[in-house]
Amino acid sequence: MAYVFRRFGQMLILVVIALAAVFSTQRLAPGGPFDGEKPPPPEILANLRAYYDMDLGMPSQFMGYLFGMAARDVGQSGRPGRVHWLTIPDRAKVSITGSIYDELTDDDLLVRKWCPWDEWLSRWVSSKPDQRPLRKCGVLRGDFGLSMTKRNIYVNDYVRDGLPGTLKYAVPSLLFALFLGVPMGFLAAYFQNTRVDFAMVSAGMVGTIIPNLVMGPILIYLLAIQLDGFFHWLFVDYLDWVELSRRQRTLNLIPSGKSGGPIHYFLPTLVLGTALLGRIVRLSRAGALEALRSNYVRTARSKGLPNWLILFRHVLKPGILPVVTYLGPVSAVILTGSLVIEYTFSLPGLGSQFISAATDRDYTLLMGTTVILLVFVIVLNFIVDLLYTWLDPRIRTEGSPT
Amino acid sequence: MTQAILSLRDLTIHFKTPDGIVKAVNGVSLDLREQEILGIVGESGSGKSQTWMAPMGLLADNASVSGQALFEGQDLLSLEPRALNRVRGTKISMVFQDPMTCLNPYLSISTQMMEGLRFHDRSISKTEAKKRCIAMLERVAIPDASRRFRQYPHELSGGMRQRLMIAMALLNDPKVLIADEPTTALDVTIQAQILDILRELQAERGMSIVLITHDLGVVAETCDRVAVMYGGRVQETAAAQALFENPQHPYTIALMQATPRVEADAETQRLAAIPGQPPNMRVPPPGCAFFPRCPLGAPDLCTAATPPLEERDQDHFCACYKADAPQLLKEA
Amino acid sequence: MSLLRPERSEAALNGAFDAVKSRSLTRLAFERFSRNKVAVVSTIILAVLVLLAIFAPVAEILTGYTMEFQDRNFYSAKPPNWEAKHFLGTDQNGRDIMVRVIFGMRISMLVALVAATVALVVGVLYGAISGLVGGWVDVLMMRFLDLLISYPLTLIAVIALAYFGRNIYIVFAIIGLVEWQIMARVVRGQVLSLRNSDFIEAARATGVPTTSIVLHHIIPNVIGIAVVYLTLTIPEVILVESFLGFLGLGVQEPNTSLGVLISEGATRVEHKPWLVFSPGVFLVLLLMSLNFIGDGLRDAFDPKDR
Repeated sequence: MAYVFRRFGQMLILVVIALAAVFSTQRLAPGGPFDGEKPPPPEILANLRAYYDMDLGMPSQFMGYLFGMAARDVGQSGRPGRVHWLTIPDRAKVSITGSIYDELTDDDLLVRKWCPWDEWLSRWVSSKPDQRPLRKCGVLRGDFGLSMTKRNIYVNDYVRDGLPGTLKYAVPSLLFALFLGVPMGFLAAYFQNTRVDFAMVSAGMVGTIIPNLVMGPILIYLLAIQLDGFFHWLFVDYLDWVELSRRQRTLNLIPSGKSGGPIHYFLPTLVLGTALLGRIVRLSRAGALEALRSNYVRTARSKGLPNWLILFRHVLKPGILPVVTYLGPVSAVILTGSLVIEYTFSLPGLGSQFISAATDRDYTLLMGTTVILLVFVIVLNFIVDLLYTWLDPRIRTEGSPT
Repeated sequence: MTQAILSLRDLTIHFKTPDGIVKAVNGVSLDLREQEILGIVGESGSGKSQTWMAPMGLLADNASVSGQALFEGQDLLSLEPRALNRVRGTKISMVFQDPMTCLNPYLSISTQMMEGLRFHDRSISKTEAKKRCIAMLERVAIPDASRRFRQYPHELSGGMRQRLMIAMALLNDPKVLIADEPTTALDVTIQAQILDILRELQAERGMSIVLITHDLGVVAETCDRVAVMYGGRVQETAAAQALFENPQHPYTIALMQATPRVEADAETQRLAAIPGQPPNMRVPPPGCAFFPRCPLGAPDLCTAATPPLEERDQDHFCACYKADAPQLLKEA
Repeated sequence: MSLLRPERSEAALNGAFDAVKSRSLTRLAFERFSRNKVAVVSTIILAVLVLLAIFAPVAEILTGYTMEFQDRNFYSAKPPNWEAKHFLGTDQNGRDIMVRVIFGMRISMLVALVAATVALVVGVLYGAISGLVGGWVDVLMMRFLDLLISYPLTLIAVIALAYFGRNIYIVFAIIGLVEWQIMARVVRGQVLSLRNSDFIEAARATGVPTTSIVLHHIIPNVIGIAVVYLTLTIPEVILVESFLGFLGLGVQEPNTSLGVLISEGATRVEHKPWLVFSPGVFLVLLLMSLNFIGDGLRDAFDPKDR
């Protein structure tokens, strides 16, 4: 257990480092969120920068981003006010002047002293933008701040809208790859160097060789065009049946926008899952092969145990261990893959927000999505470590993997 | 003479490898008699382990086996997997060389011990099985058995693991125990303990033990009868005492000279290594496998055909054309 | 006083060794590789693709279309037309797809080669330093690498590219920095096993200075394995490049790459499949051949993995 927590701590440190890196690069890089086609007048720009604390020094900005920052009297004096770390006055007033941004003109935006978790959670449920207080509570208390390009939208809201869209496809495809890939790898190992082995390994290879940015369009083409044509021919021309709508003919397989339905999971999951499948088949095959050749399996056979029992009891754990270690890096594959499927199938999700935030220089949105993606990675790695300690008793007692 | 319990008849094992067929075992016929400890001696590559893996069905997939291994009227080599599973682990058990790798590191000792017991006899309850396992652990002198029972293999020392292996093998009260170099990986002091345990248990339960080893000392200490193997064949079998007092085969003699002894003449006599290499079993030498390294080898006689096992003395067989080998060697 | 006749046994010894006459490691590896049919076929395919990329301008001459040329008669993506010599069709702006795909592949290969070299240099340096210095430096560096391996560096690359423009040199560097960790780990493993090997020990015992040990024993032995893993890194790099291109973050006009071409067609595949198929097929062929060659090489040099 100590090992797991140590790993978790290391990951957290790495996240903070990554955040600092992203935070500083984006502020050092040329360009900024406010220089659009028509740059705002200098005084408004100054106010905007002060409003987003961009006029402060970089360390202060970063600390403020992490831990929260006091409300600053920006509009009236025209210069940045004092900064109070973690001591946020009750119902302080912040206003922004500037007529171009009419959404925000002279609005009284409230800053609360604390962001109680219940209030924070309730924000995920209710969505009345005008009733929300402006909070600069810092990332560590769950506040990602306001988006910089769409200035009346909270990054939290973006995340709330985007995260389910990403997880919706990421989790099923991971499960798909695991629950298909591991048995395939075990079969391949059990029937090593036979046709079964060859079939399993090459089936797994398909996804590795055809990258998902090619696989997506090809599947759309095959299912949308070819299946549609085939069913049209079958029902209308050949069977002389009723004319079905195109949606019915293609089995409604192509996800479009937000419209849902379980069938829409099929293509994205397939595209995302097959990208992982090959590696998982290979790893579980290698793990199972090693176990099958091991002395302890020979011992088990000498005990007169049948093959199925040996596979399930003696080979299962060592066979899936390599797959479990791969689950850490897999998070990166899933994240990049979900960017691709969001683009290919025009799905809403964190990935597209991430890309647009990066290209639009929306600092807060980019930081927010990065945090969420990194948390995804951390959680997956945490699960990996838990699984690892559960699978390998040697770690449980010795405290580190050998 | 007591009866044979497990008889190998003309056992031949070949392995298909990418570089050719390895003829590991070539026509071994051997009897394991009731209630005896049979020592199998030979250097690595002599096929001594493979010979006894075969009746257990534990050979690698690329092995092709011919011949017979008769046990209780059945030929183990031609049994179906299911029928074989009813024999191995219950009537014939095996203990392996390296206790560090022969136990599954991912499973607890309790799981690994109880599975063999409960799979073969479903009527045994969990508590009953546990009781029997712990009793067995105590029998092989594992201290604090009930705590050890709950642990994992990596928490045990090497000697303890080998004792655990023995306990596991004997749970079902087998008639035959095949011990494949059970002491090779262990310290000398622990070796003696393990051999003691084996001998005690053999006397106590009246089972037969096959003790595969390359260590003549272990054989002299433990075994009733010895078979010397070289190049995938039995070269000499005899009662242990007879073999040590009156070795017949040149290989056996060379082997004994290559074994360090604490005796008076050890000072004057240098340890004689056997020159040359063990035969390449992809292309075994024609005729007698030991011929290329044999000091007595006669080119035409020994390479013409493999020498058959002939009875030299009562119950003392030797496969060599030179009937007077010991004499000749002494003269030279 | 040996009883045994040494001359005879030596003859037997030679006889026994005839069958396994020592062959050099590389020759053995080459033989294993050439026995691997898939790898050999992949090598041929890759050779063809590389030749296509090298002689890409020939495609312009043969078809008469340059990469930039917009054919007025073939605006808004027309299907393949052999009479007009648009063998793979045209894109939205009436440019010939075949010419663009070949040039795109050229860029993809170039990026892959340079970025993989960056990865090679970084990985080998990191791994070699970690392995050679040892001690706590090694522990620290490997811990960091462990963390980095389960880290979505591609996302960092997205951010970096979005911020620092899409200059082709920046693309090289950033992609190279994404894919070096496995190389580092492999190199470190090799260095460590070399360091502990008997012949290094022997060299050290006979007083060979450290620099010459590193130069004459460690570096030549590491280069082999690094090259093998380089062939496995190249397809990864191509994948990253096409991914970034697909998201619009790769090379910029007038250059193009396979990923950029695929992304141009991906959303129109229902009506204009040739936009995706041609670059897609080339990308798949490229990745496939590289993957199989890399696997074949690794198996040939390190057969224990099978």
